[in-house]
Amino acid sequence: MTRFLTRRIGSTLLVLLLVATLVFVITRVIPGDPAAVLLGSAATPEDALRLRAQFGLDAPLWSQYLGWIGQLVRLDFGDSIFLGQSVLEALGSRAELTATLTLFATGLAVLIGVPLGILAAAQRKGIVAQLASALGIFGASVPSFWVGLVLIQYFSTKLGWFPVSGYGPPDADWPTRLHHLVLPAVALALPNSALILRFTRTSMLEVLGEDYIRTARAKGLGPFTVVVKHGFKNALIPVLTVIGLTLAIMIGGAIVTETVFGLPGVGNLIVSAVLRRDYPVIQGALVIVSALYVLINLAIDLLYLWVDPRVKA
Amino acid sequence: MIWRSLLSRPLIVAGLLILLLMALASLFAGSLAPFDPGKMALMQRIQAPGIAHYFGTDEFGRDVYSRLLFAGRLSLSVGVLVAIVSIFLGTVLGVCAGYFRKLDTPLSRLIDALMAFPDILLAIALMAAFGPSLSNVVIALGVVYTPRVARVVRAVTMVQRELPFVEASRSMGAGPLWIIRVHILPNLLPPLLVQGTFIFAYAILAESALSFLGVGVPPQNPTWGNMIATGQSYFQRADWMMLFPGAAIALTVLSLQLVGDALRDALDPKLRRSV
Repeated sequence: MTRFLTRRIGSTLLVLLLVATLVFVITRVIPGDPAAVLLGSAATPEDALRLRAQFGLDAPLWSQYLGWIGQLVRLDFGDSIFLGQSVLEALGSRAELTATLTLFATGLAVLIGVPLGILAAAQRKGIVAQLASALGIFGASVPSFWVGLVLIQYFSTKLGWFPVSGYGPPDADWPTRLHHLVLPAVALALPNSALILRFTRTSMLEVLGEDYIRTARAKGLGPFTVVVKHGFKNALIPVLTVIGLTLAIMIGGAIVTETVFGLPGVGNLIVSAVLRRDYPVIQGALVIVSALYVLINLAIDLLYLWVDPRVKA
Repeated sequence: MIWRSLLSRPLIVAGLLILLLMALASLFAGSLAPFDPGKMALMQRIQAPGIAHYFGTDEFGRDVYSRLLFAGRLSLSVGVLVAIVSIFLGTVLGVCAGYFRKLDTPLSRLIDALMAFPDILLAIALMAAFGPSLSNVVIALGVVYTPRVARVVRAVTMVQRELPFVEASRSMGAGPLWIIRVHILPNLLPPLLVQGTFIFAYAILAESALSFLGVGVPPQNPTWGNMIATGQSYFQRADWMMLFPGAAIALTVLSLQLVGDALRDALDPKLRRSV
């Protein structure tokens, strides 16, 4: 078990280093000088040189790279060009909204996807199962931002049940906040509930074909006990994987959803950073978000140890 | 054999027909479109769908139906091209990692690292570096989907290279390039076809998201994505501007996923678990 842990953590660190390197490559080596972009076409060559020096872009690439890695090790992501804040502060002040939205949406997706997936597997030929499978494919086919726009159109503008956009006044209480997040969470949850549904169904179908399920049925256990207690418990591992995956996909999806609903979260910050070419923010966000993804995956692997003792061997 | 199992299921037939229809409509957009997609008619701004304009008109009086046909051309091309780019890059990476043991660890970690970025975030970052344009969208999304292909290709290659006939070929003096070309690549075709269909679908969705965020295809070339993006500012007065392109995306992606699922079942039942 210790060996499993060391190897797993070692490869996680390696992947993180590669992620940092890729981010460096994307933002520095690829054509397009940030200084030139920042200054626009009216800039003199002297301005460009001064700006390049200010960002350390005049140093040789290898020393820029080492500096970048060194910064990351100290968790120093530099300062935003436009916000007058450090990148970490900028991300931190918006993280709460994005985290709430993502967790809210993941919860919804699990609540929709897992029961429907179990149902679709347990009564393979029934009408509910067919509908659930159809929803599984349909939900993954509609652009989520389009769903968001349609939801705003009908539930906010026409019916007035939910706010059209934003996150309420700064001093709003929790119920108000959550009320603002209902539609975004639904839009974000839909494609992911489809994914969870399909994985749950496949995994359950496999388990329900096992001998011990037949044994459980033969000894007279009720359908609920057989399907949920004997079946679902053993189908849990792939489902856990996909829930973790969903959490990561949602971080990406939040970028689009926050833009649709005008929510001042991390996704919104990233989009405006890209449109304004705020390079330090783009870099920092890329590293932090993907590090989060890698760590979520590590956490899922560790969860396996707990759910399935066979992995320890 | 494959065709028979595909054609025996009505949903799949419907999916294939829709795809064929979309492809033909985009191919012949020039003769099918009743209006010039770029022609502005300020007197006919924002008209609801009717007999003159089947899907209504937009904020410049342009015919939404005609624009939809021409936009389909670009959206479908982006999908196909992204699939081609990522299958090419992914196959090169995956075969190298799966066939040459020494390359496996570094390449696999590289694949892991690329997979660590949420798709849309990596695409946005690449578009920020490249600048918005049609060809850059293809390159960026091609890179984004490369690791998915590489993972599948690596797994299949690793199984193939240990099979007795490959071993026999090797012991008779065949070099790695020959073995890859003759024994490995043909066996990669079925999974690549399946992956390609799904990437086609994801790429259409991703392009629309990028264009919506303003870092995708610039609005002078209409795609389904940037039509929704423009439509959203008018959706209270003219929801058709947004509903029709959205429906076109949903229909196409839905058909592609149905066909992809069916192909996967028909070509290799063992693959069912891997995606």
